[in-house]
Amino acid sequence: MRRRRWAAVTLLTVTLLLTGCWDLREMNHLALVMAVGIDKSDTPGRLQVTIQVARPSSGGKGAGPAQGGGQPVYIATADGDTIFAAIRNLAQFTSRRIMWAHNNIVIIGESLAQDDITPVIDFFTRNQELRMRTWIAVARGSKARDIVTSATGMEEIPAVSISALLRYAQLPGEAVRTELGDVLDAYLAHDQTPVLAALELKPRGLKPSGEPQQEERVQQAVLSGTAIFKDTHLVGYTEREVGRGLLWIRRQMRNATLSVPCPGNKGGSMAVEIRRPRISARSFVSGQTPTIQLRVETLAWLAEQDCPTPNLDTLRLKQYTEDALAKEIAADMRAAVKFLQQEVRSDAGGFARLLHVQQPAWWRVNARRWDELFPRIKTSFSVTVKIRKMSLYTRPMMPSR
Amino acid sequence: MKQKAKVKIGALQLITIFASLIFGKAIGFTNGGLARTVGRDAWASMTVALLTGMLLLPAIVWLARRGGGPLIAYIKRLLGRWLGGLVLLLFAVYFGFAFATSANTMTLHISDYLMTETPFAVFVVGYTLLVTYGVYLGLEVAARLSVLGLIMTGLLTISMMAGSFDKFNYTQMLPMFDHGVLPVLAASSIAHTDVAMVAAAALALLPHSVGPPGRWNRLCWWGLGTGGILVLVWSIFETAVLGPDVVAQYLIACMQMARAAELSIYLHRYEMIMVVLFAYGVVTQSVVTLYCAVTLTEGALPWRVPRGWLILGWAALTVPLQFLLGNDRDRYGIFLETVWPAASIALAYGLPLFLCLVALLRPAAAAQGSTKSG
Repeated sequence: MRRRRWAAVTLLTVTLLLTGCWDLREMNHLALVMAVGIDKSDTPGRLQVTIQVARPSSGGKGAGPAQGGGQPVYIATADGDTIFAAIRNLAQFTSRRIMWAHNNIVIIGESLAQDDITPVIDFFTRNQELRMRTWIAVARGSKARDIVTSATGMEEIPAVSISALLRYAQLPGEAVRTELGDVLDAYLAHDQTPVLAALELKPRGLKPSGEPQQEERVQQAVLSGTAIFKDTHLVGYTEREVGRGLLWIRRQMRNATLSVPCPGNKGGSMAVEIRRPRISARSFVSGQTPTIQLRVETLAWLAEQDCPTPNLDTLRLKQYTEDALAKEIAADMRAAVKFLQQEVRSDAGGFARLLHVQQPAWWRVNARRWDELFPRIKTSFSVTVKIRKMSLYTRPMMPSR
Repeated sequence: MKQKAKVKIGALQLITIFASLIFGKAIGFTNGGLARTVGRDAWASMTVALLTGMLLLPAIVWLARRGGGPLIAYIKRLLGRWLGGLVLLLFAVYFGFAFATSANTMTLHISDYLMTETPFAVFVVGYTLLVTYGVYLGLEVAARLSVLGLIMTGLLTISMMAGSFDKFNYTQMLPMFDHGVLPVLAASSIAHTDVAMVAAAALALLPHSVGPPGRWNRLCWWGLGTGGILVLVWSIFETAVLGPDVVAQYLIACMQMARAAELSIYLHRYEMIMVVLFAYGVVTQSVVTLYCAVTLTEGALPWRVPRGWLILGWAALTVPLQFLLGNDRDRYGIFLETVWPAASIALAYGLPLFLCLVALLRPAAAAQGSTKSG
């Protein structure tokens, strides 16, 4: 009994030592970063960090007076010789300790991306607070700071809106969506080339006004193609068709809506939604130059028909649309290959990786000459489309007169 | 040691102990080391090590059966008092280092990912106290903990798979034997550090099994097989989800998996849960290895030392050892990939095989008290 009493007293005493530790961080002492932008500073050789921090309790009400009182986010910027130094400099005027654990997105300014993305990849994958699933994108045509500071999207916290853009990027099917882990993998691997999602500010939002046609245009962050890299620097962006083609080539296409002209060249278009595509790639080596054969098999739904087709029955309309769509997909892939081989000379399509996997003996011999060989790689495409549904309709649009 | 012979472990507990012995360090540190050496073939090297272990275990089981009782008395009978004592001491030192690597698996996880500001020494001392208490409670308690440990390890593995399955890309594992077959075989020495721990522990623990000696082979295979499959799942997922170059970049590869897993957007981060699930198996590994070190030292010393002092002595010895090994992460990585594989293979495989040889050469001494296999 006496021993138990002593044990109880000892345990109670020990609990006194458990009240805190070196890593104690109170929630109200933390600045939860929602988005971060990294740019080249105006001072040569320095980097600028811009953070968007959630104001946890305000939700837009009763926020601190320093900047943007009443706003749901606090935005601050600082520069330094390194990203780490810039963040330490942020601590000189922010009242809370910066925490990265809930960061939604890392945005790289275009100018920095054109120079080298190494500092960004290194810092954010080395830091134990960040997740490997954090989104990462390039600010197309602007500084990252411009996007981080923009009040974009429908959510109270703009960073949440931007991350949703990337989460649902598969719907338009025109750009890749990239996470830190993917970019680190491509950065480190000798047979891969990094690509990043591109975000651009465009005046797409409208601020309602009392007067008709007098609405004020508001800059919104828009997914704007894919940023193509060669080694560690940005060399170009894809536009719509090339962006779609790149997704096919990278075997990352999940969903897209394509337009094909109406039959008979009388104007008007039809919208077709790609469903459950299956993409396979094979490589062949004959002589010095390998050939890559991409095969696409996809289902599709006819989602919209803007032209009456009185002379076509359902079967013929479907046949026409399948053929037209197959040609369009092949043309997209062809355009993407041409762009990669001739304009940016970057293997963003992942041909090196494919050859490494499928032709290891050839790869071992030619890996060092890849930059020289890549523009000469031959490609061929085979596309099969099956239209299974015309949404809810069962026959084409046919007006009575 | 006569007292210790009374310790009895059930068949299931023995299997779960063996599975726990291989798991902790293997997913945390070994996969990174293998990826640094053979890239995307890390899982193949791990498989080679597991299969080699499976092939070597019958020899160890044979030796344990011939002993017919506790390891300590058997080794002394085979080699004589002084040489036997020296071999036991070597085994004890091996288990001491094995404990240090096991403890560092846990402490470095917490120190590098969860509580980065706390001095490393605090974790070393705190964790050693916890394990010391486990050793004081005895092997049977550790055996019961190991059952819970395996369940938790299974849950951890399932949660990791569920959170990262959408990023699984099997082509990351291709082409196979990218660095050639021989480097894969050679690199398996890094994975042998984990498999060898099972081999050495089997020699020490099998005599405590309640099961008939005829089933010992199966127990060992089940233990190594269960732990091995879990380790292989991690090795394959780490390569296929993160990519071999990313695995190679980090000292603790499994925490990168934890950082890359998310269960929908609502549970996008659960490293803490994963570390909690991970802890039970690693604590079992640490308790068993320190227990073996203490017990073997007890048998090796020519004079009687109270067991409590031995436990405290080993704990006191391993605190600076853990600190010296783990405090400099790069040095620790080099130790795990160069010194520790050589030492593990020499001690955990070499000594039992040496004993097998002696048992064959001295059949009379070896057979005394041997147990009939059932």
